[in-house]
Amino acid sequence: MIRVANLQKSYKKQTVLNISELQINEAEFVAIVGASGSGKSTLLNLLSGLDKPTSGEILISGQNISKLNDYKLSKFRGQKIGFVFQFFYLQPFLTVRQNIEAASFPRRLSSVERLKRAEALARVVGLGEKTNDFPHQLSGGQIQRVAIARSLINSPEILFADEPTGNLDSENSSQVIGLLQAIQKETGMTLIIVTHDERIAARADRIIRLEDGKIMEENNA
Amino acid sequence: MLKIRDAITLARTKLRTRRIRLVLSLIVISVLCSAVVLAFLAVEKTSQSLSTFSNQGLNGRYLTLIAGKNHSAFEGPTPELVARAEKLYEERVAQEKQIASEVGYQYYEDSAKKPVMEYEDSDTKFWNFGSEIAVQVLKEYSKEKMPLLSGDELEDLLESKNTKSVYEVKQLGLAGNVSPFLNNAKEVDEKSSKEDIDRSQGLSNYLSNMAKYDDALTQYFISDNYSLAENEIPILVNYKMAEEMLNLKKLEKSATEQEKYDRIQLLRKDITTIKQTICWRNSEANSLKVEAEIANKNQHSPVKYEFSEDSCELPTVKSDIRTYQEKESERINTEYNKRIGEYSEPESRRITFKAVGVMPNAPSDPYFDKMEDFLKEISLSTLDTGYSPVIPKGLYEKNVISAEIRALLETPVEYEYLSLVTTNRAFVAEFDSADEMRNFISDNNCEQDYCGKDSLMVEPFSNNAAIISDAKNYAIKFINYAILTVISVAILLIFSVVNRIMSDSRKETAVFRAIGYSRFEISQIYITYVAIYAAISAILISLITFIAAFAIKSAYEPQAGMYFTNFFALKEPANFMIVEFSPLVGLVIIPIFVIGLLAALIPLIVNTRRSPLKNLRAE
Repeated sequence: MIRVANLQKSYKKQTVLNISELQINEAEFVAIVGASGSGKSTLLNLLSGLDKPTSGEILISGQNISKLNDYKLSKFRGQKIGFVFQFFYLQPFLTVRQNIEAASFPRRLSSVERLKRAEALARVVGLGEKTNDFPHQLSGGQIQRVAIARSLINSPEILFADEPTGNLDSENSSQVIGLLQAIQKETGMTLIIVTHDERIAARADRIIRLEDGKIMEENNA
Repeated sequence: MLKIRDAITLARTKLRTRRIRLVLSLIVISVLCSAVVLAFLAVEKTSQSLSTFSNQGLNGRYLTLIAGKNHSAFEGPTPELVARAEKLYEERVAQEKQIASEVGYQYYEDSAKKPVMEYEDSDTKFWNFGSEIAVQVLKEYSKEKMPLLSGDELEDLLESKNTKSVYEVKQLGLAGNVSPFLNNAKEVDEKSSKEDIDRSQGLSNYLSNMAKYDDALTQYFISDNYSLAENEIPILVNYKMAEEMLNLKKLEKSATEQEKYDRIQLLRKDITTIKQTICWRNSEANSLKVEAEIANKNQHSPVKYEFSEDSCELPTVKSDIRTYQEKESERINTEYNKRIGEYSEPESRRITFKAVGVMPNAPSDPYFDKMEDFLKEISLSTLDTGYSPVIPKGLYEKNVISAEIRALLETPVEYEYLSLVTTNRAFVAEFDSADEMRNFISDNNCEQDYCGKDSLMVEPFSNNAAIISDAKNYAIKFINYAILTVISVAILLIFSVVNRIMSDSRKETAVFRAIGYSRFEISQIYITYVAIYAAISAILISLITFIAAFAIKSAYEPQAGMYFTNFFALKEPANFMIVEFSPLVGLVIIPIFVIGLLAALIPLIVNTRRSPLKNLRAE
């Protein structure tokens, strides 16, 4: 599903990522781990199209995303990719339901369809009773669930999560990862998580370990 | 592209951020725009109202006064002029000697008549301006060196100019002595009160000179109920003179506009009942009257006079006990003075002026101590100069008036001795527009002392409609500058607000980009924000403008109608609207939206081009 060839990223002549080959299959749960500065977030950003490589190719479902212009890349992301951030980034003045729906605005779904999806996703993440609440009325774990629901409204093929439990306590972290895993198994989407937490990595189907911008190890969990 | 409803949903979240900055900018822009909109509405409505008020009488007409240029005949005592004057003087002395010899008069040379004199201790010569010959020589010289137009030449010249209409103005006057009959009964004498003497003097000055104007200029001021008998001279008088003639006490300064209007209507109606008779006497008749009064008081006077019941008739000799030689000496003296042109038969005549209408007073203070006088100077329509009445030409010429009286009025009055006034005729030209009038003035007015024989003095007449029409143009120009200033301020304020909000929303923008929003869709959110901002501004502007317009209308319009009715001397009261609110003010949303887009352009370009990753990392 995702294929990388001779991928390089440099900042001011310093190479921060150098991967000659990488493949991630459909419906796989992959954890990218490594110490701070190992290049794991850089790899995630490149794979999700948020950043452009200095050289190399990134093919997702046969599409070379490194060649797409900004508009096509945006559309691609909107249709195929979901994203969960460490710091949630919900709209404080929108309700839970509106925050979930906001991710589907560019797709111009009908209001009925959009509402149906948002309500369903809210239930999936366990917030079916809180769709009219505002983010400041939720706990950290609940907010992250809303962010997960938001990332799923467009039925993405791939979900990227960058340190999704970084701001949560261990109990919430476990619940969030469990939720992600359950959704991944149910929908068959590809889940790629960047984490420094080995316990979370252990729950993945595959672990890719980075060091100094290179893949040191790939093994099944 | 986002649906409009979705863009509004996201844009509305921006309204909740940076609220103080947002509210302040909305207030400032709304107040500034309201002021400009209100000014524009006021200028439009006031101009419309002024046009309504300016279409009666002389208001709103583009008139100029055209007269031949006059100048002083003064020139220094050059050898040529001195030689000419002395030659004429010698001829004159020879002639006088000849006449004296013929009539038996003992001739004595009067050195006071010498045209040129010398200072005692030097050879420097100077003109004796008391000498007719000196004045004659100077005027002849000046006419030759700097000739001027006669009345007919002036009229012919104007026919060649491109004007809509030309109306004649003729200066009339009574050379000699004018003595009014107070209350149409009695002239003042030594027993009269100071008040009567002052009043008589005032009337005498007022009725000594007058100007005859074409009907096109006077018709508006003639009252509907006038009447004229034979030999009555029709006159229009100003309000002040009308009040004096009608023995009406002046209104207090605190009088309301309604009271002023009522007073003017009263003057218009009642002035037609007023006639003023004067006794005109030539200088010989005046001297005879004085001489007769003195003689009658002096018990030793050999000549006594009899006065008629009608004080205007010449006194006659009642008794004369002088010797034959004394009488003969006087006869010879009189004969001699007649032959040298320094004596006329005494003449006196009653002349009656009949008021046929009133006109507004000329501004009281030509140096504009008060703003109202200045406004009146530039806008008031009146023929009044403050010094003399106006004779409507049509009524004067149609009325049956004796040839003697007409001749008296129409004999040109000699002005100050060195003034070269060649004609008592002037003209008023009318134009269709301020520009035509202005061009005519600048093309034809001689601003120097002398510009050749065709020198003309051309100036706006009666009111300056051009200034009034210019005032509207200046007001609109000022509003245009105000609009530019407000636009600049609005751009700066909206730029500040949008830029701040976009900077604050960088992480949100990054997240939206990550989840599939394109740059255009991000821009859509802020464009929608600007549209909401414009809508709120338009509502505030409409509200503020409505309230302000309502306040102005309530406070000033009730009095404005009557004030301007009196100011423009209208015959019927009219409403004067200062400002009118229009719902079209709401259309201000469009320019504000456009300004907002312009202001938001740079922040939009800069912020949407930033990399989402950079935004995510931004603190």
